[in-house]
Amino acid sequence: MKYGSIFKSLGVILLTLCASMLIPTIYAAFSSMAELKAFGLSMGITFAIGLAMALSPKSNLNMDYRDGFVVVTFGWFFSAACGALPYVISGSVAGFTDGFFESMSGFTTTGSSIMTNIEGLQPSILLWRSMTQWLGGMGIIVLTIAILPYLDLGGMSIFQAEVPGPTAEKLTPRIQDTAKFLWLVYTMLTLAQIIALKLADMSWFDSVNHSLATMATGGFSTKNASVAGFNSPLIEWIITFFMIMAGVNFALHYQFFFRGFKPKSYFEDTEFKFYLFLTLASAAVIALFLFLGAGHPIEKSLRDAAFTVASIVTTTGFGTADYELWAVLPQFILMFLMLVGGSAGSTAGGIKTVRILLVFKYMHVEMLKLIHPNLVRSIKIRNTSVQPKVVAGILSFLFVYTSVLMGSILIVSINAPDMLTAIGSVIACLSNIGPGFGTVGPTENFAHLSALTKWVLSIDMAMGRLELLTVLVLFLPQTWMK
Amino acid sequence: LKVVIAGAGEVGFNLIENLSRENNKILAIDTDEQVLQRLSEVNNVATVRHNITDTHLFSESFLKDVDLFFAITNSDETNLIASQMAKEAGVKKTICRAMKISVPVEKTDFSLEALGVDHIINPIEVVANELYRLIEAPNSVHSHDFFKGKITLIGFHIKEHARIIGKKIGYLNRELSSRKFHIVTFQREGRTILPGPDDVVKKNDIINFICPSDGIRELRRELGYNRTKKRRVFINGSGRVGFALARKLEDSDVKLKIICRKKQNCFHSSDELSKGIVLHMDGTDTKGLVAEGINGADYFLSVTNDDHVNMVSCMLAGEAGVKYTISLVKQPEYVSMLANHPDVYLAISPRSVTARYLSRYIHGDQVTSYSSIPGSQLEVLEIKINKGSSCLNVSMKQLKLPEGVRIILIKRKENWLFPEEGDVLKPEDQLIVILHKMDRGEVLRFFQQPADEIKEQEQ
Repeated sequence: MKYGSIFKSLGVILLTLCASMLIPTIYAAFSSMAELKAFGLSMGITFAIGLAMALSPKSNLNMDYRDGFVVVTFGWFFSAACGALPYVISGSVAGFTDGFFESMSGFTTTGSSIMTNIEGLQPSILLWRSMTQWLGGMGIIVLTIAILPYLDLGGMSIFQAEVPGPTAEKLTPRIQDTAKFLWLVYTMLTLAQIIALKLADMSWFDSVNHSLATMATGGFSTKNASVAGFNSPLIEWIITFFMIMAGVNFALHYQFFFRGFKPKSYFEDTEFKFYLFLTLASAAVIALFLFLGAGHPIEKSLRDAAFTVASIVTTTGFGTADYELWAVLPQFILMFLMLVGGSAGSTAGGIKTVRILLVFKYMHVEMLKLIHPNLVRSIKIRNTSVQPKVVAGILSFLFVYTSVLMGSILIVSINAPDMLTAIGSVIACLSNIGPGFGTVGPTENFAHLSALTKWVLSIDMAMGRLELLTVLVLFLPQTWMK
Repeated sequence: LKVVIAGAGEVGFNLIENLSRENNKILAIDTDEQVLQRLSEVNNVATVRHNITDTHLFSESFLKDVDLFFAITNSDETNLIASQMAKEAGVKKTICRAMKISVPVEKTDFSLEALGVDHIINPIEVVANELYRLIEAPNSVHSHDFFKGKITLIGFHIKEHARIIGKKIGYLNRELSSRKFHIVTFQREGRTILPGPDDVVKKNDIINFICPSDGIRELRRELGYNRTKKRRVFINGSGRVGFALARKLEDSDVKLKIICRKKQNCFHSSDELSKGIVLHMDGTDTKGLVAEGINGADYFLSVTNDDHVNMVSCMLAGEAGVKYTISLVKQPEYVSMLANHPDVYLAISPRSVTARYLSRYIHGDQVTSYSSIPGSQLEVLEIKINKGSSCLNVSMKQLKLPEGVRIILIKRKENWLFPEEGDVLKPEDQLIVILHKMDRGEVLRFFQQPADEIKEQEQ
């Protein structure tokens, strides 16, 4: 362990966080003195800790994989802790547990909230909430596209093929270039959405907040009723579109925007096609249920189905309709989509469509092997074969995912109000969705849960966000041994 | 022609056998004294024991005025270097055998000019192509491509259900010409003849057709070889030949199973191929093969590196009921041995295939492609007409071709036509001509004579 370098990296992360707090601070300066004080104090504390860590002497040796895991995991936890300060100090939340939950929910782009009256909060606090999601999304893009593939976690190296440019040998110089371009795409899409929402008659403040939350697939809104509070079909369609965009691998966006706007950048990608198919098919089925079963008007059925499916599959978690009032099949489709999640290399959480796709292909080959015992068949994606160790990584990832899910449900059920809430809240947090089922549905929030549950869910959010193994590897004694 | 053959291995030996019949001056170079000895005993060949990449070799006087230089040792690198050195020493044309350079067979004009290589041939591709042909056109006896793969000369065995039996050649050629098929020769009771318009097609004739390469399927239908069922093909061995063959078959209408004993080759094939089932098993494992449905297979090709495995697995497959079992064998003795075996449909020696392929280069610049009709003294040449040749602008009727020589097809820019009496040859035309082997010199002179005269005048 190169503690010096680890501290230094974490310090730099915190200093960046401190700098970004400047924006809500300035905003507060024009609106409310109480919040200004809270932000000022938070910035001071964050700066002090960050500086202290950043000043620690650099280790002699270069950082290796193990140090990378430590930096990534603790980076998220430290950010969440410091990001919670404005909520706690300003008194917007009841205590540090709630503040940490809210902040972790932001940085992991989950969107689960313990705020009961969002509209009663100061605008600067709301802005900070949205900003944590946007910053978290930024971190995730770089993490999943530029860093994790080289660590090969849970079959992550398959994404390497999709990454434009860099190869494993040229890791350091190219990672920065890749990150720069991806951030540029991320920012461009966010700006595009801000303008689109503004044109749809949203206020600047609301459109900025919603855009920050959409591109990060976060789901923090400025309204108690989430996006439904605007009562505007146009706004809902715009957000639907950008949610779907946010659930696409950003490497594909990069190819589209920087390699001549060719639609084939998207449509030649197997995962994209699968993701799109999944989204459209689910939306169609649910719309049919709403139209025929519940007797909603056709446009509203389509809109609600499309919005909700996009919101769930991309793990954003905005709400326009209370899906808990729908028939059982649509609810189950949504629950499965919660587990599946968006594309790899996007800001979406969940298991990721590419993993599901590969597991299906793996199953197909295994069945073929029953008929042809001597069969040798490689699993292919985009006409290139996937290494067996990648497939093994994905299978183990699925198992770890299920185990963590079940373990968390067990702990949460110690004092959960009912079974559905226990299951729904854990899925919602582990897959970084936001709203779950039961008493944490789209119209409710997480405020009533016990402190233990909130801590477990906070950790679930971080684990789900960091592809589980990044966090779990820290529990291996070998990680800490010389 | 003055020909130098560097590398007197099996390919060289076969090539020399083909060449020495035709009055060429041949010089074989090899480092193995014994091989050269054997060679000079059998054929009328001059031999030199030398390292072919030795710089001294090319300063020797006997390499002056060489027309063709074949670099056909077993080493790609040696061949490439030797070709380049030969070119620098003033050899007119170099032909290089290279296994690792992937060259589609159809592209006979592919060259690496900068390296001094005029033609490159990849024996793996050549063999794979030969096998591919056998699968794509079953019941065909042989075939050869002209005009870079646009036109094919293909021989078919006429079975009883063919629709053309009992019809006159003249009538058939008129009827088929709209579809660009043309009957060139037919072989009956071991004798090959150029048919007249009144000859009648009989059962068991072998008829050679000229047709567009993409029309072979249609021609087969015309002959009654109608098959709508998918053919099932087993390939034993996924080494270089097996893999190249499987690659070619990807676009064909076949059900492919590839058997290989080496796991690594299995993985490679399954990674690279989008079609076909790759099985990791022994090609002689009869039980396993039966489980994979060998009984219903149409083709079984054994293309491993081991002659014995190929022979045995083909025999086993033949016994299991596969009709077309094709075995690759390197030992020339085995080829004749398998020729009469009831369970082996065909034995192919990759080296003689390569040698046959190489012999197309020995006809100088004017002949761009060449094929002999098996079992006869006839050959089919693809010829360029020299500019200002005396045969230009003369109608077919007045053209004084030597006896027994026929122009089958004229290629004019991108079109082709079957010549009729009134047609006239134009500059830039290319011809497919059928003739007796003995007449070749005369025919070539006929099409290029005036050009030669011009040259003489200049001198």
